[in-house]
Amino acid sequence: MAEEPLKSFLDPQVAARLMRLPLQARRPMAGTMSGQHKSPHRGSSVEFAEYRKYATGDDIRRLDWRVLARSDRYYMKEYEAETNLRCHVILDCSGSMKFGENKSGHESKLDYGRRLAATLAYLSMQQGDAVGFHAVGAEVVKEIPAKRNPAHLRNIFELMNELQPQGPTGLVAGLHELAEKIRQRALVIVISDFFCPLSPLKEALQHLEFKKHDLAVFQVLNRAEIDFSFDRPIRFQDLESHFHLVTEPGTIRDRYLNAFNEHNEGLRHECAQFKADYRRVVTDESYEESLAEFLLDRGGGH
Amino acid sequence: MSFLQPWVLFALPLAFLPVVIHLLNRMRHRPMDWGGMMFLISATRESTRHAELRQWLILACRCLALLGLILALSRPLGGGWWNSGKPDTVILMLDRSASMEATAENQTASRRENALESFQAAAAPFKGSTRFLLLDSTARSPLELADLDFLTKLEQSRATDTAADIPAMFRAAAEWIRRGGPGSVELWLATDLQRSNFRPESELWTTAMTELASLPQGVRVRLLALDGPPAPDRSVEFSEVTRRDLNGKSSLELALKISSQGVGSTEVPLTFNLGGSSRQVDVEVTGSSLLHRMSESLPDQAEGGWGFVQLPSDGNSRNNFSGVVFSKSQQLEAGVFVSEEKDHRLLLLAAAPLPEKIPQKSRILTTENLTALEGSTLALLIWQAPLPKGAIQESLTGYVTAGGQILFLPPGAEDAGAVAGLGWGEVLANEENPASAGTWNEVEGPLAKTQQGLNLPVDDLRFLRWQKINGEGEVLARLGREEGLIVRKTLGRGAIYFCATRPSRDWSNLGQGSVLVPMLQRLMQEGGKRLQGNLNIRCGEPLPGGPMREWISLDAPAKKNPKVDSGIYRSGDLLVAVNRPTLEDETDTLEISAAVKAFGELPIQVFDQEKSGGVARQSEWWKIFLFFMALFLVVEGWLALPVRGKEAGREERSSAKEKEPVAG
Repeated sequence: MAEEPLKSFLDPQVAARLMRLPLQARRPMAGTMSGQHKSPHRGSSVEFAEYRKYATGDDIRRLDWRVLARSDRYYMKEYEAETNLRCHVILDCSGSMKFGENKSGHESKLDYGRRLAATLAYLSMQQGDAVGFHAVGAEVVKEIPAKRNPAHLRNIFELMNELQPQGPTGLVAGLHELAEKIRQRALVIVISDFFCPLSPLKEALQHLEFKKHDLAVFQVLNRAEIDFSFDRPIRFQDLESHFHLVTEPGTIRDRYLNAFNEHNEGLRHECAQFKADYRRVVTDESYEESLAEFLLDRGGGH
Repeated sequence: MSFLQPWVLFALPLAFLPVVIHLLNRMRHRPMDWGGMMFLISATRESTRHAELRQWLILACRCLALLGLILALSRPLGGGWWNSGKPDTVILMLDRSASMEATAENQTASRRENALESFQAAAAPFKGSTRFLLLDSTARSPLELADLDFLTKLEQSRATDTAADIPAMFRAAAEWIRRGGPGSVELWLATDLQRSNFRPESELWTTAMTELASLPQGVRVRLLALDGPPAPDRSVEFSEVTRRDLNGKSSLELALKISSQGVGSTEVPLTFNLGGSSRQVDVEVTGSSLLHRMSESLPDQAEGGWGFVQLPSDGNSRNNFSGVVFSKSQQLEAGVFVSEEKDHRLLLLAAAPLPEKIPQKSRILTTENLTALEGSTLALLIWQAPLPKGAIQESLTGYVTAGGQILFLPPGAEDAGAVAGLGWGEVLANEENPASAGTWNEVEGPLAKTQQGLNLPVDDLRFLRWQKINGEGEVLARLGREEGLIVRKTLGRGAIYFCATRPSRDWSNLGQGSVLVPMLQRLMQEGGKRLQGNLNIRCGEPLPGGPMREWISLDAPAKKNPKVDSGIYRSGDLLVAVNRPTLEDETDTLEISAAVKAFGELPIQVFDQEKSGGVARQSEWWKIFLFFMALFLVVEGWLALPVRGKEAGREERSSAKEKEPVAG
């Protein structure tokens, strides 16, 4: 029973292909274990970092004896520290993420987000990083703290499986809450459609950036939302409330696309401003390609 | 504003069809769960400002386009700035009667030719903007004129020997306007105002003028009166043609009426042609009218034949010819059907007074004889009995329709029956002071004057008893001032006559014979025409043998049309003499003022005079509405066009930005 969610969210072949591309943090991470990521502290890796003058109390084992012999000065030789990272995957499970789901088997934005989240969690776990998962609806619905235990992955998948998209978007509040809650520097990956006002979202992103988290954003959209190519009058029923609107799509298409594209451009701009890695994914496109591009952009190809 | 096809306005609610379709469209919306409601709300809010206004404008344009189409189809009429002052349609009404071929004094062109020239000159300013039609007095059916330059060359505008019925022409024009429904119409009438053609007393005038006045277009009339003094002219016609078969010898008694106008006494060289053999007869013509009698002996074996007389060319070339066709000798028969024996001898004798000299006979009819009258050789049936009913009445009606004549005499008792709407009323008597005839028709009918112009002694008749005639018919003679003495009702080619009294002594002195004999003889002659294969008809009357026959002219080598040209024509066994109507020779014309009165309230303008009577000329406005419809459709199409330029630009920008790597 426990394997079912794993199978449904994670394609082993996709995961196997993507494992060649490590998930790297752009910022130094403050991990407790040694790993593949840069640490803000000096450590004991083989990669030389810098020299500094000896100070009382320093470990004399790191004293550069050759420099002392040549110049009769005391210099300490420092090396880069490499540590593991904490990867926090935040998945929006508000009502709007239900869009796209229908009886003919098309998956919703939440399903697509689950695939992204599961694959990223798996990849992260495989390279020895700790992975935490947070489902955000009207508020932070459920969360699993970051751990690096492989069995922990199963818990994450089980939690993903239980998620039901409903209620209004509480992404902004959830991000603020998580910014405070995640104490150490971490890679924060937000998967959402970001259908919320930009101004408060900007503040939430700023909050995460202020806490020195490495931020990555996946905006999940459906093709129908992008094209809005309907020809008949439609009664649009809001997935996050009881509000409905009957309109002739042809008459408002231009305005809709205007507002929609403006919002997305704004989001992209804000992400760039806060050095967040923005990526727009569409549910009818391959998530593998999106993830591969994401990993390559983050330096996985080096 | 009035409309030529107002019933189309019932379709006005269809103008709201786009609104209904829009509402129906909205009603058949499909539900859809939607995530990005914030964008929809934003778009809807914006659309209230621009897009919604645009949508309303599109809807309004569609409604207005439909409204324009419906209004255009209803063919509205109006005046004002749109009216160019020119009529939409002009119907040229041309009197093509024989009298129109008279030339004016010191001119060579006929009145008809002058009329056509005047039409062309008057129509010149309207060329290109006005539709012209020709309605001639012969066909009385408007003919579209593509080019007025060919007006004089048309078959429909050439000279004819017919008479014209001016009020009937207006009736035809009114009917065409009502059915064809043009915009503003002017009727241009060219006529010589001949009284017999104009018929100012005809009830058709009232009907036609009422109909024209009720048309929404506002019809105007322009009158071109060609009533100037004519050039000197003479006309000729056979006023009487009788074949005498007496004692085995046949002769043709001819009476030629020669009328003169503006010509002094002179000897006229007449060309007389009998069966193709021509000779000249010089006749001394004095006064305005002359009756010249001729007697031509016919070969014994002569079956029948034809002849014509022709005058030399003068002021009117169309009244110089008169033709005649005579049949073989034929015995005429009269039948008498009486309920009382005492009158039948008198009637039999009056119908065939000299059977040994003149081929006539009379006999008593029984009820058995009455069922198959149509195929019989009877020229006249005298009926003195209660009116027939059922099969007998049907047989009698068929006989009359085929050309037979029936004279009904009073049965002596009130009769509830009727024949062709005529019946008998109460029997009246005044033995102490016998009634006498008041007025009677001296021109034509059984009591007309003799060929010598003498009156029948109708004044001498005294009536002790008479029976009232019920129903409507043509009264040929009256008792006193009111009651009908002889009433005629025409049925098909024949006629029935009701005479209010009997020839017996206890009813009247009609039995003395001085009136009764010529009356019955004339009725027999009239009825005898039914049995003749040869016919003398007037131009314009239907030709015998049906319309598909081909006729060959015998009097002239040129091809002629027997419907409109006088002459002698043969078609197979049929021989026909076609002459112009007698009334065409009359010189009595109307004053213009009298003619104008016939048009009643209809605005009329005499050519070369100021317009009389104002009427707001109504022009058709359908072109305006069609233009607006097209305009609204163009605007609607422009509004409905998607703003492709903007969209394309936006899409390009967004795709370019997507390709840019985002700094992380």
